[in-house]
Amino acid sequence: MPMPLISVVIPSYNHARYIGEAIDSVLAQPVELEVLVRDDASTDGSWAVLQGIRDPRVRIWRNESNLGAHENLQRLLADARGDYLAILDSDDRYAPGRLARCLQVLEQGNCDLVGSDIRLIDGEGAPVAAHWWIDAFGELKAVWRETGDWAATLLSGNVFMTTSNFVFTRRLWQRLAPFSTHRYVHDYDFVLRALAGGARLAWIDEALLDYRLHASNTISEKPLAANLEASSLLREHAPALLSAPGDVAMRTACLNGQWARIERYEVEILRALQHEALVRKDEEWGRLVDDRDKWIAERDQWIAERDGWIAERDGWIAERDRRVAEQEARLAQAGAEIAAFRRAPLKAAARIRARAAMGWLRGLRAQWRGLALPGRAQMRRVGGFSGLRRIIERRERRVAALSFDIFDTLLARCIEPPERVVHRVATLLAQRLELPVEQVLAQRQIAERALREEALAAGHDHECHYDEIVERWIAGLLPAADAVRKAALVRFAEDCEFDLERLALRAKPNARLFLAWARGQGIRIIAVSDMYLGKRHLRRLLDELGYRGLIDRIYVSSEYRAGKYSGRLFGHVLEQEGLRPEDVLHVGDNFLSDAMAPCRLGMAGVFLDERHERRRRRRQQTSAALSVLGGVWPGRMMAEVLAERLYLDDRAKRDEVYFQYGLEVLGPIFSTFVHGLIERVRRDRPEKLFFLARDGALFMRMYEEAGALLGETLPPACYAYASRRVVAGAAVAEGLDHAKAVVGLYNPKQHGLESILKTYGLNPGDFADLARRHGFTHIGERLDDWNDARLLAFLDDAEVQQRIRPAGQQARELLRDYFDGLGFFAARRVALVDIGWNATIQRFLEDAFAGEADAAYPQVDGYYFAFMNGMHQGALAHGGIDGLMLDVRRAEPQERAASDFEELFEQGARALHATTIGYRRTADGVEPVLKDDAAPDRQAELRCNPHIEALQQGVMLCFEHYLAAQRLTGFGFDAVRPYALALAERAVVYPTRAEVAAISKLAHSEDFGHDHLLDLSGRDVGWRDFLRPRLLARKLAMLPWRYAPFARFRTPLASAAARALHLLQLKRRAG
Amino acid sequence: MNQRRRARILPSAFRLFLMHLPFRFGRPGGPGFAPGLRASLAWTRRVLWHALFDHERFKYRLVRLRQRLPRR
Repeated sequence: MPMPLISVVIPSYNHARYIGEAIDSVLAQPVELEVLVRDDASTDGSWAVLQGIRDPRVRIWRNESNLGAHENLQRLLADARGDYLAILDSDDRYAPGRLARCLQVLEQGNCDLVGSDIRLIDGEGAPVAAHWWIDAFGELKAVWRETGDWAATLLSGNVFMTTSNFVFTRRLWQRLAPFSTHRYVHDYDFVLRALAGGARLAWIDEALLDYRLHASNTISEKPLAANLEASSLLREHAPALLSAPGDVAMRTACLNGQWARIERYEVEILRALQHEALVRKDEEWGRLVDDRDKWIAERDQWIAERDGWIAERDGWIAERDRRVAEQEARLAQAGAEIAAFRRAPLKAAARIRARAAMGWLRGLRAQWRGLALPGRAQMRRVGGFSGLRRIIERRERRVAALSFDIFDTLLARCIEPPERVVHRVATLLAQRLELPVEQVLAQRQIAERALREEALAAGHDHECHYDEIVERWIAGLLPAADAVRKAALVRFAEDCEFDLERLALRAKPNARLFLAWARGQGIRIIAVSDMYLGKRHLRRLLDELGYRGLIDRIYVSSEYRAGKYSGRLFGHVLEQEGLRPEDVLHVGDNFLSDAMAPCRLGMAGVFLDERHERRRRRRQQTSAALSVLGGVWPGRMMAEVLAERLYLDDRAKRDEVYFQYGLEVLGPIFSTFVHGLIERVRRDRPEKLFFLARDGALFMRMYEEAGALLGETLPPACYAYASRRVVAGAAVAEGLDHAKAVVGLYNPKQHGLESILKTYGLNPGDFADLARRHGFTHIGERLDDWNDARLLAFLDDAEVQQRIRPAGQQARELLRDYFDGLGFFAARRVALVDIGWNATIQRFLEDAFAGEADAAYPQVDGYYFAFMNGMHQGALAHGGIDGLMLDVRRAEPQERAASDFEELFEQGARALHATTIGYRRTADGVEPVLKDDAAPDRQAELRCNPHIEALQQGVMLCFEHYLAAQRLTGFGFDAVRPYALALAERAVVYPTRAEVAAISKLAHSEDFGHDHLLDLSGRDVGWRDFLRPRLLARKLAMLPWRYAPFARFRTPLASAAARALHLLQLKRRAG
Repeated sequence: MNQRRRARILPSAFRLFLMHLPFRFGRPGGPGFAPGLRASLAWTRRVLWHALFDHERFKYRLVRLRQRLPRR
């Protein structure tokens, strides 16, 4: 008889350690069997163990995800093929022969489900001797043994204990399937349902199953939940079991016993849970308590520290209080002493005051006595050399010798105070030695004072010699330098001082005449000076300043260690000259030295009190003191020097309106500009300067004059015949665009297309047909709208551009060759100098040449008198533009005078030749072609050229003295510029009637776009117009010199009001 | 130096002050050629002081006064 097949199903989950043992215990059973194992997505390597089993009786599966125990079991039982089914949990094992014994019972046909005794084992597989589980199983087993009633037994508890203890028939499974979803008591449920459904149970009293007790037993997960599930089962199945035939009382007792046990378990479990919760809470709170205790300890430490600090602070406070108390005590004591002092010595103080008053009186009395003269003293005061001549002529006693003070008597100073020269020498020396000026100056003062004190100590007057001063000065500055270097520096200092003194001093014209007269009278002329310079210095100075042959002898205090003020020098002079005092008349400007001192010796003293000198000293000392304030005052000081030099220069006395205008009005302004130009050139060092015709002509003369007068090697200057007209012609070699075209429309008197074409050197007649094609009635039609559609169409016309380009290219070729001949393209950095306004020539040059492929275009810096930035707004690519006197980009309204009457400055600076209208090739290269002298505007210019020439002579004379004044004062361009701007404002806005009349006679032609002559006079404005403000405003707007009509008023108030209105108008326009 | 030249090259501080006023009223800007009120006052004070108390002339007047006084 074949053995029936038994299917053993093993649900596997995270029992990698025990699963192999479980399967081995099944495979060792000597029955025909199949083993079905389904791993429920274990995470501990169980699946790997299962894959290692090679026995064909074993079938394995693996769930993709964890399904739970009952679902896994369900699937296994569904796959089982045997007549009998057995379940084995993956951590339990069968005892040998278990299945055979169970099959034997089941085969008898008396039961459907069979269980057996169970042995409890530990994790290692060793039997467990004592455990509550063993006791519980024993008690249930005892009920079965005592009652033999399965209902009573199962109402007492699940004696099968585990699903591993189930071996049952397929028929039973088919009747009861599936297992319930209870997690912990689905086995108990299965058995109860089986019993309730009439199944027959059987038990084998042999321990055929090893139930493993380990840490992860399902039953030990949540005992409370397991008991609650059990009580739920009992409530469900108890009625059916109790109602079945049998001993109800016994069964009820068993049920009650289990209820009581469950309740006890629940209470214990709840208590255990409560206890665990309390322990957890205690642990948690314990940590908090520990933290709290730590914080408290920390706090206590801080408090202790704070108390320490407080104690320390209290100590300090106590110390402070002690010191305050001490100080107060001292103050109180001092106060008491002061009070005592105030009270006590009042009388003493009164005595001191009385003594001081008496001292002052004594001093005054001494002064008074010092001013006493002997009764026979002949002291006179004269206001000039003519007065002196009258004295000599009327004098009863013949004068054998005339003694003169030198400085401020024979020589007039142009700068005050005289120490300014010393300061400049120190500045130049400091620059050379790269030392601070203050240090160099202080060293000189130290040297001079030491020498003077030595002279006093030796019994002389406090006089010292310049040679000694300089030697000691240089030795003090460079103690370690060798003798050669010191000698070179001594020579440098002497040269500087001598040069500056020569610039600072001028001969008084009347003095020279007087000396010549006196010598003619047979009077001996002697010069006597209190001065640190030596005799040879003074002789050279006097000779160079025009006194050569007029002075017989010179006596200097520095040579004799004796001064005029003490009378010693006069004594020496009388002795040396063999003269009696009464035969000598001394003249000088210092009252004490030159009048009192000789009178005391019996000489005649003449106090030279010249009004002009007095006022000069006063003004120059004041402006020198105020020059430190900046603003206009440095320029004012320089102007004082300039004016004084002009006063003493006979060349400045030329009585000609235009000469005087150039000398006094344009001279200082242009001189300041060239001063700035030289400073820029020194800074930027261009290789060559190109002064552009025609307005650069005067500036070039001034620049070259500066190089000669300063003895400085400046970059070479070159005069370039280049008008805007010819350069503009070259700029259209690649065509005429709109931006260039509108340049021709800037003039208020423009004639539209005609002006544009003339601007670029094109013949308007050549374009008349094309102009008509684009809607122009005639070529000279005025264009008020610069974006006129006809103009745009005209410029877009290819035929127009075709006609323009050849002329432009021809002009460019000639211009290139001309500038090449001047060396323009051979340099890397050059400068253009011109009156300016819009830097048009510089821009057109860049347009014409910088864009060419093989162009060697240099960096071009434009230095302009004024830059308005009106016509062209773009930046230059090859250099920059600098408007020195006026640059609108600085937005300084005070600079704008030049732009309010541009023609004045253009006329003042222009060359006498005609404007350049083109170039022509000659055997020597390219030469400029000038406008024909027969042209009407040129004729007018020619008539004015003598005026312009005189005006520029005045400017040149002014510039010569300006340079001297600048060297004497040392002021830079930026310091002087504000004053020059004020002078420009005066010239433009506040002219005199004479100035307006003179300037109005100048013919001003415009060579850019048209050939008009501009009327500068403003004659159109009459007296009546001032009664009609609107008409007046309209007329003024049309005038090039809108302030000229206001010159008829005596006061400047009308001009000032007009200026204010104009500025307001500009502000409104800008806003 | 004649008056015309002084007016052209050396306009007085008052004239400079007057000339800068339109700029102050007309539109904002820096000090430009404004001489400054304090500087103008300092100028005036110094000029007056020198005019009155030029020390050379002052001493001369004292001496002349003393010569004219009856001798003791």
